[in-house]
Amino acid sequence: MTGSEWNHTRPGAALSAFRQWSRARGRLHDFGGLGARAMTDWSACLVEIARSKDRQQFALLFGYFAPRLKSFFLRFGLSPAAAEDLAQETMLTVWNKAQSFDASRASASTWIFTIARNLRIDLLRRERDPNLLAELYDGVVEPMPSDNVLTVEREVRIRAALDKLPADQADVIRLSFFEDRPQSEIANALDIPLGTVKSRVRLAMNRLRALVEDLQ
Amino acid sequence: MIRHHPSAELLADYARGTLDPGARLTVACHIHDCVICRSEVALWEGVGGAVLETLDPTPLSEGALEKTLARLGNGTSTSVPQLPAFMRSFAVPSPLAREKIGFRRWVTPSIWFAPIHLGKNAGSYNYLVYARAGTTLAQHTHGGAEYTQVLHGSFRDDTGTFEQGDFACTDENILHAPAVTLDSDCLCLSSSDEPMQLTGRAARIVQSLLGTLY
Repeated sequence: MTGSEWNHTRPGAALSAFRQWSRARGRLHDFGGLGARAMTDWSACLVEIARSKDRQQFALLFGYFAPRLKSFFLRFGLSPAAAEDLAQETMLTVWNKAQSFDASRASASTWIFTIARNLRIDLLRRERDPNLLAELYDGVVEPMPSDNVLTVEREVRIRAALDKLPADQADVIRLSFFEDRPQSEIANALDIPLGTVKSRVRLAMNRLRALVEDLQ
Repeated sequence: MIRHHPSAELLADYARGTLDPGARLTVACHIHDCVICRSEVALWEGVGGAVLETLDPTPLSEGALEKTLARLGNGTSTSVPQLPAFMRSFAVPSPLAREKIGFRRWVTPSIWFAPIHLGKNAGSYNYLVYARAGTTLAQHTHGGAEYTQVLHGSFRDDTGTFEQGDFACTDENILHAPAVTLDSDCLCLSSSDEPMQLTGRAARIVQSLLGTLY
């Protein structure tokens, strides 16, 4: 099967169409459409992978997440080849660790994001010191001591808050979140002075936190 | 009760994955024990998941899926370094237990240091420091930021009292001589940009001993 076929068969295709339509309306991005339904679809997919080691489901998940993971790693300045390797590595880890995914505590995308984040950290450490190779673990997220801090309801609130955030603040969050370099590029993208970026980021984050708390 | 927490920026950077290994480990040990900060980190991780979904997809090279499918099932083995004997009497948070702890060195009859090997070029000085009840550490300052997580017991300096679970953050402007409280010995995990700079004469002897550690 080719990549484009995955696009047609994956869950939430209608939401994707909606998202493309909203993007076409001219906003830099849109968190709209990332509601509870899309979250549940991918979570169910992960649960199924854990339950029955279903390769078909894995292929669907791969079709959606692997290209976004590649973009994620590229944002952090990795070469295209390294970004692609790490995207595949992340998906392999997802397969191997699917059993530790708890759909009541996190959405699939948040869980996958934390795996990608940890693998990137491990990669950086190994680049700095190749001798670590033998000692490093598989970059897997270690579940925190059990509590229900990160629940799906909370993630629904986070997404609702992102939608409520004024567009310029949402853009600041989106542009700064996966950015490890000086913030000059963000300043360029938003056409604001560099000095303002930091305070804008802080302001946007505070506003977002307040919105999430209001929705409780 | 935990009263001293990492800053909001540190927690957000932890969630984004942009802290250097030493700062990351110290914050990880804090959130392991702190439900408030865990909740804050969870917020930013949730944002990370949402932002990940909004990224424009970058196509993978042809056959990437097939290549990954062919590798499925090859589970990687996880190796965790063995905990040194001198750490077995302490409750070691799991993020620390994953790291390689070096030999401890007594620098006085009441104080020992043990380096944490986070790899070459980790960009920071990372160590465990232990002191018996009632001990005062030599007055010192730091070249840059220093993060300390109290793993056991408590200590006091000019800025306050730090108990088990607390997170302390100092910088080059703070000259302090932390004193362990009388009720218990104290174990801390520390990460600093620059090595600690002792200020007294006796202290410089200690410094020369420490120098061989790092």
